[in-house]
Amino acid sequence: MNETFARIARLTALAAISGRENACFAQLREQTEGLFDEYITTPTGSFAGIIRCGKADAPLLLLDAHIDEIGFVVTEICDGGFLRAAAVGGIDTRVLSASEVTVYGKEAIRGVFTSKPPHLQEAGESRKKIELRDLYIDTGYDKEALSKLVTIGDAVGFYAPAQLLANGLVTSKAFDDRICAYAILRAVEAVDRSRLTTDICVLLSGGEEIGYVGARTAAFALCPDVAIALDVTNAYMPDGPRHKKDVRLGSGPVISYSATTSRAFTQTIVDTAKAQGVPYSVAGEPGATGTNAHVLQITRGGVPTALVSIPLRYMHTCAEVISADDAENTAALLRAFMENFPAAYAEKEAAIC
Amino acid sequence: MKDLMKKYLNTFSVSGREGLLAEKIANDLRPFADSVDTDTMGNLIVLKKGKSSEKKLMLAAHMDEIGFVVTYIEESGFLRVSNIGGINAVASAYHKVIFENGTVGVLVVESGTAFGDVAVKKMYVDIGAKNKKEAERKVKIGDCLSVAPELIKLGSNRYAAKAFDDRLACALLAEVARTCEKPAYDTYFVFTVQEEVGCRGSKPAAYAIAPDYAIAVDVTNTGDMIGAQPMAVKLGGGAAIKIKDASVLCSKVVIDGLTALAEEDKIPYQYEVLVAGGTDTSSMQTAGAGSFAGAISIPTRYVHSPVEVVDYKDLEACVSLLKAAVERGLETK
Repeated sequence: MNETFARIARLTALAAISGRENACFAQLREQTEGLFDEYITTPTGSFAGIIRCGKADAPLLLLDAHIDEIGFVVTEICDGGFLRAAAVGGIDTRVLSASEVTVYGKEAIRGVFTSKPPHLQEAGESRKKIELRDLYIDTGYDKEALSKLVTIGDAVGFYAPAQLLANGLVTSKAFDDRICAYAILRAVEAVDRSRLTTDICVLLSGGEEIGYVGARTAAFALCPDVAIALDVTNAYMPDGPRHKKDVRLGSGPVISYSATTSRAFTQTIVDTAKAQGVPYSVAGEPGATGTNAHVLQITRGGVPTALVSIPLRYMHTCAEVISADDAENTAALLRAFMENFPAAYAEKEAAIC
Repeated sequence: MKDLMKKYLNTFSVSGREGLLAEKIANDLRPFADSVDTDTMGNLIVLKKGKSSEKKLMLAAHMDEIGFVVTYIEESGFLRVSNIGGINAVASAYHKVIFENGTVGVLVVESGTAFGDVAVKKMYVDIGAKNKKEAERKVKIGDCLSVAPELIKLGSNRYAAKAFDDRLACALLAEVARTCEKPAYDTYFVFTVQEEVGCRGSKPAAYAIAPDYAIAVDVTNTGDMIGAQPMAVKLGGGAAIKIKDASVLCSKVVIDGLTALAEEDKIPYQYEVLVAGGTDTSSMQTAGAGSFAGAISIPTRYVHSPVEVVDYKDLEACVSLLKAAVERGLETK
């Protein structure tokens, strides 16, 4: 557990605000040194590694997790050394007040979102929804010093080092989608390469939170024959919707049946989980899954695509909670899938690239 | 460049009907280009070969402007219309309008409509026809119209007009194309169609060109209007280097490249974070395998009104910056 926790902590600590993912590429390279035969980075913030199985005309299996996280960009440096910021991705402004952030200026600067105490609020103010324009980031610097360190457009991210909770649960920022990146890397490290019948491309894609920018473009460049998108999914919580009852932390990977993924290809993953005894649950998703699966499927002439998710609570906050067991079981499923790749998909599609 | 600005402003070019403007720009740039092509969408693609052909730079300015389309002709000869693109109904009401064939009319609001209820469906165009038959001699259903052009000088350096969004950028690209030295890379000056209806022209154009770098030129809001949302962009504050808008987060490579050029040449510049509105930047960033994409924005007040206001000095800064990027490239030392 200690090693797992340390590696998960290292991944979530990376700074990769959507659109600014290349800030973490050197660290990603270091953390995956020796793992891949080829490394690729794209103009749209994706980092990819490829493993060749050595067989001629092997199909390419793409495993995708997005490396970007939601955050902010600085829009104004104000009097008194306060910063204004605009949202990058789906920010819930209710959770911002008094939360900790890192401003990625010339150096990384710690800061906190301002919060108006009850003593200073006017009557009825506490019932109003807080908007981002009501909040500032306080770094402690005065305006002059801050202007030397920070410029408009610099990225800001949540600050929340990983912490271990009971039962192997972990809390941090950016588990959406670093926990999936962890699961993929873990699977690829452990896989028995002599059993591979496909080439494997691990795509740590950028810009998912701002419209699937990285996966859309990287998949075009990489020409996969089949793809599995890995992302987090909301797990059961008190007051959560009923259909989430069976998606619990610790219940294993969630395999989605959706109108916008391939049912036949998805079935092969379910079959693998069953055959290998990996705990899993299934989910019925509406048409759009809100994940990279949505764009991977319609890359070029179309790609059979499946979606596998890791349960998570409190998505898009600095206190997302996941189960390390789920990550390990997801890795086990991916590993088993790569080692027992379904024959029905083993032929490389007629090349159109 | 003022000649181009005036000429392009006075040319009809509503989204989907950009042909007249494309023809004028093509004629203006043919002597300076290695090739001039129009694609099936109507995008005008002007290529200037670079010192190196290893990389491609795509520049985009959209030729189209917001406007209206005739949906129904009343027995009375009045024309009902629907909007093309993001029309501000209040801003467009009671203005002179013009059709592609030169027919002139006035866009008015149904009598008795309260100010807060003004909407395109409450509006109609009076072209002076006495009845439906007379109207049909000049206009048919599906014809497009826009607010009639008028260039107004404000003070010593500022101008007001409709469709500065994005004719100014067309003039700016054309000015750079006809005055720049040999570009650093193969440079595609693309005058796009249908930006106002979902950045549609730039998508196939960027797919076909597959650029390494892309720069859109478009207008941006400013924070210095009464009642404006907090925004650091000011009229007269120089060329705006885009950080983000609602459709895109610009590539750091382009932001840093443009910033370095502006610093080096002492071109006034400011950073732009636009919280609403999209540009061709996004389509160029995500077409095909993707590109390093960013934008130079012209600070503009009252965008999408018939009286968009700009400062000519900002325009000159934008020309200098774009020219520097074309001639010297975007790779920072």
